[in-house]
Amino acid sequence: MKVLIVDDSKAMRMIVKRALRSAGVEAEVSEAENGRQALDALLGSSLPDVVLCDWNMPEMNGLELLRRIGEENIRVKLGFVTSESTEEMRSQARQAGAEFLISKPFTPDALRQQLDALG
Amino acid sequence: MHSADGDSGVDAWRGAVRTASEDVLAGLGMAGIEVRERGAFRVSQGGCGSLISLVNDDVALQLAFMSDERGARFLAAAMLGLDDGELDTELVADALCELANMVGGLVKSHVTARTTGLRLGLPIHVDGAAVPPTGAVGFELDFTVSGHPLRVGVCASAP
Repeated sequence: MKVLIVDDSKAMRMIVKRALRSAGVEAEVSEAENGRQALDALLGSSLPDVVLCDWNMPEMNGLELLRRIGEENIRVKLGFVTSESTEEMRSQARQAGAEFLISKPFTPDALRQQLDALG
Repeated sequence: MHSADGDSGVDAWRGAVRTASEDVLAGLGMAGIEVRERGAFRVSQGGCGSLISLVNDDVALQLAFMSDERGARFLAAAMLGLDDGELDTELVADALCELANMVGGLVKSHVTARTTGLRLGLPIHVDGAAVPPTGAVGFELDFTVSGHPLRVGVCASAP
């Protein structure tokens, strides 16, 4: 599985990679530090199977990235991995086309379940 | 949290911050968590940590997470699943910022029903001292995580 992890925190990107390993997900991981970097990567190379994306980031946040993915007709699945998870945010994420929203901190199993559900 | 809120306002924030901090530390796989409630948020010197803000039209809340150098490295290593020797200063700072981000996000979730429109800021690293703004009111929680100190200071002022 090809995974693009988008988070401005190097520590959080490491935590997500560790969770993928712990969950037994064989992932080819690439990384971006914000939505703009991620969009550039998605426009310029082969698409990942899933984008695991933070919500609150400088330059371009996760929701804006998701909207730009839609505008650019990029066919990729995106799930949010975020410290904020109010019902309003979940609703915004769903309406924008996100596959899921996982709250930090999360267990490897929780991440695995969401990835398995993508089919 | 200010006097207009009365004690119940402070207690509600204290409860939300305590619960969120405990949940995040436990969720990150940390053990041996103890907490002691202290009085007002005062200057936390001689350490390193992180700050994050929660702001709406009525209140500007600042959460500070401070430890000593050994404690900060312990927390970072535990969060990232690394040995101490694999850490550098930047990674420790980043991990502490992420800790603030997680707790701040969870606090926001806990209080959303009664405090609307809160916006979570981006975390910043603190090296040396966390100083509450003049006139701010708040409280401190002293956590111990496997014997390492983590002081969570919370203060509120007008936005």
